[in-house]
Amino acid sequence: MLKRDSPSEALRRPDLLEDPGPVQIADTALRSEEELEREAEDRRRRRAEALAAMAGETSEFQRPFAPRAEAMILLENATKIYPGDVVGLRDVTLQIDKGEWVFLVGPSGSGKSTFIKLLLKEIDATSGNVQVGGRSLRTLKRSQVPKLRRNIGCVFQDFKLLPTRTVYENVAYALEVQGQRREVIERKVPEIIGLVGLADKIDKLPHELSGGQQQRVSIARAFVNHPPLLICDEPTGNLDPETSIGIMQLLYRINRAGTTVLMATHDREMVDKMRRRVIALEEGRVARDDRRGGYVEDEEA
Amino acid sequence: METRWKFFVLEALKSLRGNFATTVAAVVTVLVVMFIAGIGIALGSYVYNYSNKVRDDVTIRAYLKDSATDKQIAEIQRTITETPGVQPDSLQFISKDDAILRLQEQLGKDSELLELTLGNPLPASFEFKAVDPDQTATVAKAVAGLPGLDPPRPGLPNPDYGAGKADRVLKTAGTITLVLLGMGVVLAIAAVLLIGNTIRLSIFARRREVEVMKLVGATNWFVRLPFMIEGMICGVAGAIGATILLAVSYQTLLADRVETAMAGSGSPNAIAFPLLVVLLILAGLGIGALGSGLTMRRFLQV
Ligand SMILES: Nc1ncnc2c1ncn2[C@@H]1O[C@H](COP(=O)(O)OP(=O)(O)O)[C@@H](O)[C@H]1O
Ligand SMILES: [Mg+2]
Repeated sequence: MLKRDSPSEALRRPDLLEDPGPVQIADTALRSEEELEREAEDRRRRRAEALAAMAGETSEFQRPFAPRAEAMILLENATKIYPGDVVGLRDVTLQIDKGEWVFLVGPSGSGKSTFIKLLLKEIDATSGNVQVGGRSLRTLKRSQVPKLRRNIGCVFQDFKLLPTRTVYENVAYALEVQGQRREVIERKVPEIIGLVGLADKIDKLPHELSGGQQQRVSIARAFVNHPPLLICDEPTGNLDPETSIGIMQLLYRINRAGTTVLMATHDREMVDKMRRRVIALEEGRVARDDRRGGYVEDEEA
Repeated sequence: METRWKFFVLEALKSLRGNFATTVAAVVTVLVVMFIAGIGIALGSYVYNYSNKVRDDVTIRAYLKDSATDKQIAEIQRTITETPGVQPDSLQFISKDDAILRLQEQLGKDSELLELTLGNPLPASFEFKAVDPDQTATVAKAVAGLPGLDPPRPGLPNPDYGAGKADRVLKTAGTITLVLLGMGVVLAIAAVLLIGNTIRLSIFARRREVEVMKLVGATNWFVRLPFMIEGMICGVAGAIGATILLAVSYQTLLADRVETAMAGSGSPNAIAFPLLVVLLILAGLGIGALGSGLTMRRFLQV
């Protein structure tokens, strides 16, 4: 359904693990095919915008809701009402492109987790449409849900690690569950654990690790298959600011390798620093959708 | 594929060890069910075979007076041969000497004394069968009352074919089987519920694992199989325990007596033990699968 990334070049480069550094725009060798494609598409879009502006029409960019071929996530009037008339999400329409990095912000109870559960088809929209990777989740058969989830990496505030299993086993579990062959598991698991910087902790149990290290394990598990979409629900919510930065750098590198990242967060400092797209929810509605926004609405806006 | 089965079975065993007490309760219940079912099946099959044998093997015996003349005997033989529905090659003349020999064979060597002390009290007889066992009574009637035959006496009909014996056996057996079946069904339901309870606890104990499984995209059957296997292990363990118990109690309580009874040739057999084992294990698997299946429908919406 979703296109599986080939193991991403950027993540395999050990030198990138030490210090992510600034985005190297010129270095095409470090970027995946998909990222290059996306840039080409970006150029096409800017040109189309310029042309449209000259013709006095609204550009695609100003109408972000029109479906385009490269949408990773597409919501159309998506509404989720929980039993007892509790609003989870109300009439949300938005698009997230392949390769994008998006922050999902808003106070507790504003619908961030509901948004994420819809994408995983843990719950179904009460009305409206939800599409992931071009596939409508409403018509997606139950039997196809596992396939959807194998293409979405998930990272949560509480890590969701299995306490009686080692780091290796926790990551291997994701592959075992998917019915991967043993050779593949034995090759991929140590590789990804090395990439998240936990090679020396591979046989430790989760409770022997710090919070940041546990979160790295959960990221390794989420990314071991190189899914095209990574969803994080407050991944740094339980971590101190120092540790959070390391986690964000790791996720940032994953994003730079071509994976779309959607992150629900309360981390104001991080959002303000990174200046990425920010979708702010309030009582289940989209209150704000800024291309390069801050945690709260910018003063000048 | 091999590693996968290992994975599932190890998961199931780990989890069974986790709820040891409930697992034991479930296994013991299955064991009791299977033990009763085993006795029921063995007894039922024995009685069924026995009554079939009695029914199919009805030999009509027409006993002759010791004073019967050769002419009368020839006339009786002619009547029997000419009666429609008689199995022609089944007709046999048993002389007085044949009869006493046969009795001696059945009773063993010592019984030679019998003849010496009593003389030979046994009458000569014609033995024959009806082609269709159901026609036995009709065929027997055609011979009744011929001159030269011993007159019938109360309790000793002549000709004699054990009227109603098969039906009486079947009726008793039917009642016993029905009682056992009822007990079996009640206990089987209990076993399914107890296995279900074990599985419910293990679903609860492993809800985090299940959550992670779903998260990383495990298919339904992958999530369910360990629980299914868990239930089936309970069922099979109970069935194996029951077969062992059945074998042991047969050896210690019944074997001697049955062997004596079997000594006379042509005794009906109960179900073969290996077949019984296979049946019980299959039933154990079924009960286990049913118990875990029903529980998962309620507690493991994937
Ligand atoms: N399973 C549920 N049943 C009923 N109401 C729910 C459920 N999950 C969430 N809600 C409600 O939906 C609203 C949005 O919740 P949520 O999506 O978890 O917000 P956030 O993640 O932004 O804190 C809240 O009012 C919450 O109480
Ligand atoms: Mg939340």
